[in-house]
Amino acid sequence: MTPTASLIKYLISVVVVAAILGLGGWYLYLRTQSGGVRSEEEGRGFGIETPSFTGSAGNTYENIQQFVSGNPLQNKAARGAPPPQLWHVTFNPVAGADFVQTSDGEELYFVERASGNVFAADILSGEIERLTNTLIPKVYKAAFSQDGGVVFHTLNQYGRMTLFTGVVVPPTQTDEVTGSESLTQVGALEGQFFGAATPSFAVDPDARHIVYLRRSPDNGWVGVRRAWDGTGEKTLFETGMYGWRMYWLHDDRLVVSQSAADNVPGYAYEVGKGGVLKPLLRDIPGLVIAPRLDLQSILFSSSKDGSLALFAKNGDTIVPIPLKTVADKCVWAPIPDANLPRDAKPTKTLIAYCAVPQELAKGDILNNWYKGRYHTVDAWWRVDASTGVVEQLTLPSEAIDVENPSINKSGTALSFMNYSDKSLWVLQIPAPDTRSQ
Amino acid sequence: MSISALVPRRVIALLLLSIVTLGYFGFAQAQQKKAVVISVIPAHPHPGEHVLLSATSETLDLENAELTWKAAGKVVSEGSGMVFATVAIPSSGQSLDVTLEVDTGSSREEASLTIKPVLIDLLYESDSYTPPFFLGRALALSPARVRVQAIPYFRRGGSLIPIDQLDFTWRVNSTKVASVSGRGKSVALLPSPSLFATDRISVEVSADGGAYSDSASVQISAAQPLVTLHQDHPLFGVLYHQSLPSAFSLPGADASFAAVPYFAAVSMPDDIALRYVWSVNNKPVEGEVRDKMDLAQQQDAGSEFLVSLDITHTADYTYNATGKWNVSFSSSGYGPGGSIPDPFRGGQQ
Repeated sequence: MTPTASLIKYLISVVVVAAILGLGGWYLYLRTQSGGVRSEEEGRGFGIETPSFTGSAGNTYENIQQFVSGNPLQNKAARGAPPPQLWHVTFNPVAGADFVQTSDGEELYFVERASGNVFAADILSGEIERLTNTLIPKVYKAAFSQDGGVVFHTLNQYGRMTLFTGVVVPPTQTDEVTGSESLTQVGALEGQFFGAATPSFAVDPDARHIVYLRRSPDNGWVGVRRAWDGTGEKTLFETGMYGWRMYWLHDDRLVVSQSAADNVPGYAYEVGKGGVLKPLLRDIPGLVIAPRLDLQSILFSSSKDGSLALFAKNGDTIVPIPLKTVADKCVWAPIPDANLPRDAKPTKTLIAYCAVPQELAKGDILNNWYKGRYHTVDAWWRVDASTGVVEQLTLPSEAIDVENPSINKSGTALSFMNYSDKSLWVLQIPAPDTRSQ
Repeated sequence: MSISALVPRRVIALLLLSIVTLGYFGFAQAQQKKAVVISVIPAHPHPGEHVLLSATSETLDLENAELTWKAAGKVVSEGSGMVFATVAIPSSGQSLDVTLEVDTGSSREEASLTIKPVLIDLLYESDSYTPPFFLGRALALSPARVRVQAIPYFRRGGSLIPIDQLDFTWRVNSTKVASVSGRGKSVALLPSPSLFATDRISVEVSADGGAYSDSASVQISAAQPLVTLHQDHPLFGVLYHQSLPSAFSLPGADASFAAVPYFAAVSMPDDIALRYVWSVNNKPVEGEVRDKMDLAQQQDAGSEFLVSLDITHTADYTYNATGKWNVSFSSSGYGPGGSIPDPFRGGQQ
């Protein structure tokens, strides 16, 4: 064999081996990438049932009633049997929900996203009542004061965020035309729109006040507090940053936390006198917080390098919680004395409830979740934040990506929205002997 | 017949050489990783603040190892599987040396770090576009700007020194930015890092002629241009909570869509600084179509469409967000295969 032929054979061998190795590597690369794409698309919520407006009378009113499980021709809908432990209150997308105190006791108020109509659900009887028929279309977010005042977050004609505070005005009990009582009458929503707003606002848990951010004359932002009717406006703090989330606690305490992103350091502060930002949590990647109403403890999550972690900060002590979730999915058990003063003796048990994803996708979990590119399937856990001990309450019987959780005053029921389709759910918190294992 | 008769010996030699080489690089990479890594929360504490230390390892079973945590030479925590420890940073502002000893029974490893407390919080975000009600952080991407705020905690006689008595010097990658530096300038708007780049932004704060001073810095990486597609629903508005995947099915014969150009340097998505180029089935969509598009208006034949979108920014040629979606319409419903009922057409006509 000539040296040239030998060299050619050698080169061919090198090329063949390199090609085999290259193709093998490429195959492995593609397999990991396609797996990631598949899991991401499954996580986006396709395949989850979509709300349906199938009504027999063919109008919006009937459609709405249809999807709040009631008789379309009556405001009060007797359901006969109490709702199940995990109750799908409405398939319709809702803008927000919370437990409020009314003259009838405690009810779950919620706002329908399409119409802005306010509903009240009795979580024990399953009875649902439409409280208002004032049309405010495309309400993206809603919240309530403890006594039932309503806040809407929507878009104006220019696509800018705007806020609305209002109250439910009950219907006149007697029909003005016939003089007879009318079962079909519902109340109205009266209030006012105001200001260009940022994505975050907070409602006073003790009174009808709201705090929100608006532009300041020097191109910064100011946190402004105002009463429901627009009076008593007061600047609480000034900041150069736009991306804050706000949490109004008992005793007029306000906590702010930077909007979160994976791997990006976040800070949380209590707004002190004169607008001084007193550090609570600092320099934590992907920081999301859930402060207890008396600020005795803060649940917080971090997101770094594709991994979530949950902690509780109790005073100076940080307790790791062995769950991988976002603090947005947590809610604190109610405090026995809602008007606990700042110097009150701390309670020993710090109980919270967290929805925990069964599986987490790879990559930027937080960023993709906030963008609606990724949805989770959650199970509920009970968390003792003082010890870090956790206990699973439910298995995920439905594909629910929990957002906006709240808890009733007696601590027996959780309400939450499914971020995949914005429908509303209630979970009666299982007693210890009936919990899923 | 032996293998060597079927395969040339040189090929076998090359294969063996490749395996050895790959194995060596894998081994070398593993050696570069530390056996134990200590993380600190928060990474840059204030003087007197308590921090949580945590240990992780890719090679050791820490849960079954004996761990000993030491701060300033003194044991603060020890025991089997003690992967967490809490220490207090000296209120004097001095650095604190932390050491972790790991004894697995068969090997001993050690990790250490020094925690230097700071007196300045350095916050950042971008003035880039995010959609309404978005709860995440606006990230930096040129030509949008980075908004930074320094919050110093200098105390004089027990009281915080007011911002308007402090001097701020801002730097981007060590280069002073004089236009945003000066007395009371705690907030600065700075250029974003270029695509794929990372900038280091630092601030020095001083008062009383340097009697009080400290510095802080943060590394900011450029975000990736991203466009997501959402259904613009006639009743519910834009479904921002549901980014449409690369292939999906919708009920009916038409739909409206909204594109969300995450982190673009605009305040609204229909800003003229953004140039939208839509195409359906590889044919450019004609007319002035910006961030919102009605698919039926563009195409009335067939029920399956390849929609593509290309967004560029007039002020920065490096900004380019693209997306492609396979859209199909079905009479039955949403989702792949149209398995979910149509929410607005069933049973109410």
